[in-house]
Amino acid sequence: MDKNSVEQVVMPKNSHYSFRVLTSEDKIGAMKLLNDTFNISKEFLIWKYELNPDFDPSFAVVALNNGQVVGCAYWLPRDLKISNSTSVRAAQGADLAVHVDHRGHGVGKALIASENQVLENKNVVMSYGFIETELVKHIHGPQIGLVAVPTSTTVYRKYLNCSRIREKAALLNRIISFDEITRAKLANLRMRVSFRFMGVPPFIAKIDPNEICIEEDDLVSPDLKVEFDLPLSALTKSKKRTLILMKALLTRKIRISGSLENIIKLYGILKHLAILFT
Amino acid sequence: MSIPETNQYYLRTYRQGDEIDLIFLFNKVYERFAGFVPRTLDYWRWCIQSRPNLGEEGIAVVTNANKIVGYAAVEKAGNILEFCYDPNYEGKTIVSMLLRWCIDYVRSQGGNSISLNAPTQDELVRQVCQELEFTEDSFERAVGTLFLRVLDLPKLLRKVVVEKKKVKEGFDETILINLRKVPPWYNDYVAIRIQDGKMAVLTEKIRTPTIKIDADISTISLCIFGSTQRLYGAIMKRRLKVRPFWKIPRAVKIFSLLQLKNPLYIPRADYG
Repeated sequence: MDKNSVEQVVMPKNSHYSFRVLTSEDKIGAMKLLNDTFNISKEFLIWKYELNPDFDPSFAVVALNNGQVVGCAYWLPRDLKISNSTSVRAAQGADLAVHVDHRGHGVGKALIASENQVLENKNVVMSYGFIETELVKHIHGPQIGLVAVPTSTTVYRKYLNCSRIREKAALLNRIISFDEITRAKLANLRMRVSFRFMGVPPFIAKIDPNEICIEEDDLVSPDLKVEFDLPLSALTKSKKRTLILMKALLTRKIRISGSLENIIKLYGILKHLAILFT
Repeated sequence: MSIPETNQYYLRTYRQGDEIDLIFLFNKVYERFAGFVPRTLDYWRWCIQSRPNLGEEGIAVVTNANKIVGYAAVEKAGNILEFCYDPNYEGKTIVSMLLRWCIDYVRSQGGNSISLNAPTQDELVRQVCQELEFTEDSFERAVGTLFLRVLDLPKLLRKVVVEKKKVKEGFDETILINLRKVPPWYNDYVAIRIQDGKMAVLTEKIRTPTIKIDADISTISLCIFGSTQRLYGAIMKRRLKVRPFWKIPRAVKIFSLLQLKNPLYIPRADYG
């Protein structure tokens, strides 16, 4: 067996994929894959891995199909502080990517499962990473001993303009153009809603049957004026959204001024507008 | 760009040679925290100085009587990678100067938003952020959950034991932890001896331990990195079995000695 090959326990024996520790000939393919998947610039990837004084290519694994790199997983060796004066050698899970044409074949799971072999005999005490909880359930199943640890870190954010909301509006407009349900909800609706959120400059949503347009402005007489003493993210969690809104209404953290008819209309399309706030 | 001035505090951009003081300040300020990479010159030069989209003009330094008392490193896109201030000085002034500078800088570079990771306990940062109309979110919701996996438990315990030097005299026990559901490459046991006020991790299997513990590696990891409630929860749910059962209070005491209680602070520079 090739000294670089990574024996797989997850992939079926007749799999078309082979796995090995990153070699110099895989570098370009792996970089291209990361670039295509995450839209990370080549300059950033070179800095992150090749210029990193701690980077060790033997901490990366690639998945090959017909000699082409179709998946890769990188770990970064790090000293991680665990108490006042103690640090341990750790491996931080960095980038994991699978080519779009090869997803759903267990390549990602196999790459993660290769961690045991990759990190074995490397004097690494623990591995860690920042993962979306849903993703852990999906792809980290094969890993034994993965535990979630709460942090004491708060993220503060301030939007300097509404370009992000405008981008989301463009996405919503694309959805409106092909989704009949959303289009039906917006039919006969013509409203100017002024929004004020914490941490976001005030903006106007001009809602028309075929389009939603965002303008960074304070309209003198909007149809509805909505003021939130809540961050934009309060509206993103769909399961709790109604509860959060009700609580905020009762505690006057949301103040709405306008006709009741317009308020009901806005509530009716809130589910569709939620994409603006994600 | 205009550089604001407040009393005897001065704000300027990074100058060559500042890095030693910046690293010293960072490590001093976050000394009581865990979860980040301790700053060394090599790490800082790579992580901050040579990072694309940052550049030395994105590092602001606040001085007082020529002493660096705070600094911030911010990317053009608006992510504040490192942020710290000396709490022995007027923290509110320093934080406010740095954040206002960061906002102006990101705006001038065409950034759309600005974000800062700070320890949750830092009320001063929270107060200034509120004044500047920042919103706050938990790290878990904004970035993701920190997941970790212990690969070498004896080594981790040895490190922890070195840190926790003090054990009450007369608290002598030998503990054998039998690990359930371990991967093939893992030792399925680890032993700890507490004698004459000293704790030691042993590699050999003790034949006559005074306490036997059965648990899987996740449970032990949670007991080390988690809270005491998690430990009680594990015992109640029988995920951590202690034999003989009357030694449960002793086992709890030992695990609380092993527990890593430093809050975890994750600066943006370490994962972004």
